[in-house]
Amino acid sequence: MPLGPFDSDVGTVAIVDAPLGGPTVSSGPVVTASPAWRFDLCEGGASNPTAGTFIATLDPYCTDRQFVFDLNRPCSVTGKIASDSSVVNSVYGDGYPYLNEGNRTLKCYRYESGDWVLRFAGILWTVGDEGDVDMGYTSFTAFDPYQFLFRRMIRRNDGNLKKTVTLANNAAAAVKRHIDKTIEFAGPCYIDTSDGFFEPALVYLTMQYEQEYLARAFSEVTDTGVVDIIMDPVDRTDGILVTANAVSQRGDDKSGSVQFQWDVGSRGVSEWKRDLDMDTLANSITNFSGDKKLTSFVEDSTSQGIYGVMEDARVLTDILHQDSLDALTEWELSMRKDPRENIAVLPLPETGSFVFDDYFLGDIVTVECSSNAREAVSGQQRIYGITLDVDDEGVERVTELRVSPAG
Amino acid sequence: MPLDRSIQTTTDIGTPDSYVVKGLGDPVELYVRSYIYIPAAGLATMQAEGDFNQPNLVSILDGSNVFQEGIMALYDGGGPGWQWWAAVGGSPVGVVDPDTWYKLDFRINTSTVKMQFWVDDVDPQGEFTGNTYTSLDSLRVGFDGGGSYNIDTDLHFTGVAVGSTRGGSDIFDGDVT
Repeated sequence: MPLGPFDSDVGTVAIVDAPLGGPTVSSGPVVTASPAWRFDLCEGGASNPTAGTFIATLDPYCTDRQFVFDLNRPCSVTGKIASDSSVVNSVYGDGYPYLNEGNRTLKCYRYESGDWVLRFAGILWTVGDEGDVDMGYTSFTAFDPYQFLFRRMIRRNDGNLKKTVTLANNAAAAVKRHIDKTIEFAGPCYIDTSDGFFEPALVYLTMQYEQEYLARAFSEVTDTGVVDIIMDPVDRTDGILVTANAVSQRGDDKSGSVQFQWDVGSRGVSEWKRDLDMDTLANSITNFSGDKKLTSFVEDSTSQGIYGVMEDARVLTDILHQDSLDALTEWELSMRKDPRENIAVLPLPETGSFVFDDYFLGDIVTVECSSNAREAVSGQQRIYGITLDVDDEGVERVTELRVSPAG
Repeated sequence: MPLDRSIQTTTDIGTPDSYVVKGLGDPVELYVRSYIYIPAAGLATMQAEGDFNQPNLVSILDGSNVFQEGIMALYDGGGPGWQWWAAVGGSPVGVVDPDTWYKLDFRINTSTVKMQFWVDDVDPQGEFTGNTYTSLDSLRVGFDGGGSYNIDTDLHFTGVAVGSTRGGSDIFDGDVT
């Protein structure tokens, strides 16, 4: 006769009164959904060859977790945790508390198809302590290593900072070269380029800087629309948190499969906000090179027919080549010939489309609204930003999707 | 709500191992939960066996009864800490106090070859990928030292459950209360 619900037993076993009355549980074996996210605290320090090595899991103590993912900008995650938790105030082997700014990193895993997938790896950048009559809390913000490049200067091939630096040639290759240069002359920065993809034959771009942060220079390059920089998190323990990539356009066209609809169709959007303004509109644009020897002029007759001629002219001091000047001017016209439109939507969880699984930064999706939103909107929009909240049970919810017209 | 009844496993002279067994049907992934209580005499028995030579307490075996993975209260020269079978040789984590109930959870996924465990809902080590798994055919709960033990000790287990999620019992509900 097997013991209780078991199939068989070996040796001497019996069911007896449990010592100490047995453990107390809330309601017996509890069936709960597997948490969608796991936050692991890891070693940090850009010069630490074991940065990324696991220290402790912050779950289940961590609350108020929120990710902000932005295209071509540093991505971040914030959270809050009881200060007296052993995963916060224990002293690690280097003499600092477990949770510490600058020399700790955070790896955030999402549970997908039976496995934990690394979706964010960043540096604990800000740590704050506060207390009330009951207890103390520590809040934190971690940024991906793009943020670290705000403290690295753009430099010449010989490492020199003092003279004018040119960011030139193939835009993707230039991004790689400048990351490699900062690693060579200033040391590791959590970023690896050797496994990255740098799209060949991209637009040739020439910009010049003097004493500029790498991240700011990269932002200027990506804002031209000719290249997107992607920091892919990688699960390593050798000081590397991300692999850098540079491509002509991040993301895919998913407008046929991912649709966010307000008051039409699936009604998968609970809230939405749309702003249109004329502040940036220009349909006759002239740009000059820094030395004013080069000129590029473009105009849009359709826009001029609707709004009248609205001009703008600028001297782009960083531009030295006609191809680059023309590309920038064409891109500028495409972005400014219509009123500036910004849309933020709050998708319902039931919409059937999920962040990471179905869409992410750079993807083109369809956003539709009925005429009950003053005028109907239906079109392809590119995702520029995502705010994602993770509740105390580890369940995620997109709380804002920031999109702008694609194409 | 207390789990006021428990499975007592006793080893004595002539009975080196004592445990209960449940077939699981080889799922790709499972989560095992068990509450465990080790009396001071039991810990002393285990320590007497020497470093890195402690029994499996909650373990998973393949169809040929070959160990796939398990949890033990391990000595490595210091006090006992928790460790899983495949990682023996590494440093155990945490502290195992005598006469104390602990909640142990662990997860195995044969597809991704990942394992993870929790002690009282805290994951002290993160994922582990140092083992390979043939299949997850059966569960053993009790004192399982592979026949190398032959001295008195008692252990207690309760709230045993196997599920497809942590804390779930959809694969096996081993409640004895």
